[in-house]
Amino acid sequence: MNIPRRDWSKAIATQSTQQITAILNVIAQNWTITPVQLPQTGLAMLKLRDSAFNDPYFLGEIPLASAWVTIRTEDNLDYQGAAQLMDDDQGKIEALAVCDAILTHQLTGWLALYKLVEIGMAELTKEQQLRNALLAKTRVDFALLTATEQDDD
Amino acid sequence: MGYVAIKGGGRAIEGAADALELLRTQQGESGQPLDIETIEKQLYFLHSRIISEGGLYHPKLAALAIKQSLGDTLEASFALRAYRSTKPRLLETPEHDTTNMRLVRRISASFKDIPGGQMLGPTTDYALRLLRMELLNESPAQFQNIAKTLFANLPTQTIPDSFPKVLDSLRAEGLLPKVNQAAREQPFDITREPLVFPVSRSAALATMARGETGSLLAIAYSNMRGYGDVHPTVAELRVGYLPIMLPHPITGELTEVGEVLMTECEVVAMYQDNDNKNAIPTFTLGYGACFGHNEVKAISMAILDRALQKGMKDGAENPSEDPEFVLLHVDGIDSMGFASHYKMPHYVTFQSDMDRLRTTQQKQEASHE
Repeated sequence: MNIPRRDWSKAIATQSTQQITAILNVIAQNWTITPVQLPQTGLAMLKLRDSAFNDPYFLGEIPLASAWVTIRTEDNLDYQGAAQLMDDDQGKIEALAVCDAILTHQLTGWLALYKLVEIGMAELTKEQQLRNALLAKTRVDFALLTATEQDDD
Repeated sequence: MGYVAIKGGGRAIEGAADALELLRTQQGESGQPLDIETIEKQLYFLHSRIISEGGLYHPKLAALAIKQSLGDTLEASFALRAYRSTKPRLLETPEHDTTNMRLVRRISASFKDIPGGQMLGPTTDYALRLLRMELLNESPAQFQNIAKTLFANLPTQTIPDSFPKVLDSLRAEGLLPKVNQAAREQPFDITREPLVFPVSRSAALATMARGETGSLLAIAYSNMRGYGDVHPTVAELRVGYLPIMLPHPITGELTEVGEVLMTECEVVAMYQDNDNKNAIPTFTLGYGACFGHNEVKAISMAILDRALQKGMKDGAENPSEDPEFVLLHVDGIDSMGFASHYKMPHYVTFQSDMDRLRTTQQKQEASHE
């Protein structure tokens, strides 16, 4: 397992709630899942530091969903997982918290979920590569125009 | 002056809502409803504007707001802000530093060579403002082929995910004022507290960050034209995605919960003598930032930040330096609401105005007789 826990939720979140729950329905069909904290959807205020004077200020709000669950398996053992995401889909955040528990404790079926993590990370990496490629394509080297030179890239 | 409630018009008001819906759908069978992703992607700058002026980074709902308001920016921002007022506040994020932004654009007007280099990214800065008539009849196939062709020809060279700030190099040379290292006060929350002047700089920044683009531009432009003396140079303008990090509920480790597209601008302004006569003079600074990709807004905000710093310190000599003037007039939803309320029935107050005018006329006629 090369992808660290801090990246699991954002990677799996790239997939649809239906895809995630389809896998969980198979893995967790005989488990009892109870909330440690009630799942919440709401807003978070984004605090930034201005780069001119290092003063903190609020840029605005972002949606936020969070969930923290306990899984009780067939052998009566308890495992906890939690997730937070910039989203307002309660079903998705609950599913991600369950995924976090399964992956952390490598419960039965974790490999199927880890596959989703890998797919998601690949998509996120591709997106970042595209942004970087656009940056590279538009890198500019302005030069001062002198009397002897022609303006040309 | 008092207000008097009116009643009636319920059916007409419902009819007006229907008429507006008819306006939206009047293409009939030849039309297709705008889908949310199309609004987000193809009306990119409009969408950015609504996200920042609504004060809520919710790309899907910002697109919905544009759709239901038929593209009216003020109404769309109003709808988004109304939505946010129905949601609970779960938390404040830890303080985020924008040096970690995943950039899509980064330029400087101060230096041609900046650490990490300049990247134009997606911009209209160098475009000819000629109408592209070919888009009048753009087919889906042509549209889809553009992205495919561009993706196929992108360079593969390695680019770092984040870049140093231009200000850091100026600061290292001793050309900028020192940053505030002291224990910092909790920033002002404009969504919870009213602005009571004098206000802190954090209140000013937060107010301008969700201010209306045109209002910020107009007041900043007054400063640029001479009602003020900021004379800014853009040290750095960057557009990119800021990863949002929150502590994992169980481990406490900072974990990325999503990313926010934002624009940030730092301007270097006229240098001034330090209050401490033994200290060397330094450039002054202005800072602007907002959700989404909106460069005019970020630059205008940076100029106004600098102008307001001057006004707060030495007293306002121009409108753009007056915190009360600037901060109470840049919110699009406040100002639109006030302008729009004049459309609502004022029958009783106007009747009173007419009565007073007639009485005054009669008195004047009587005095002339």
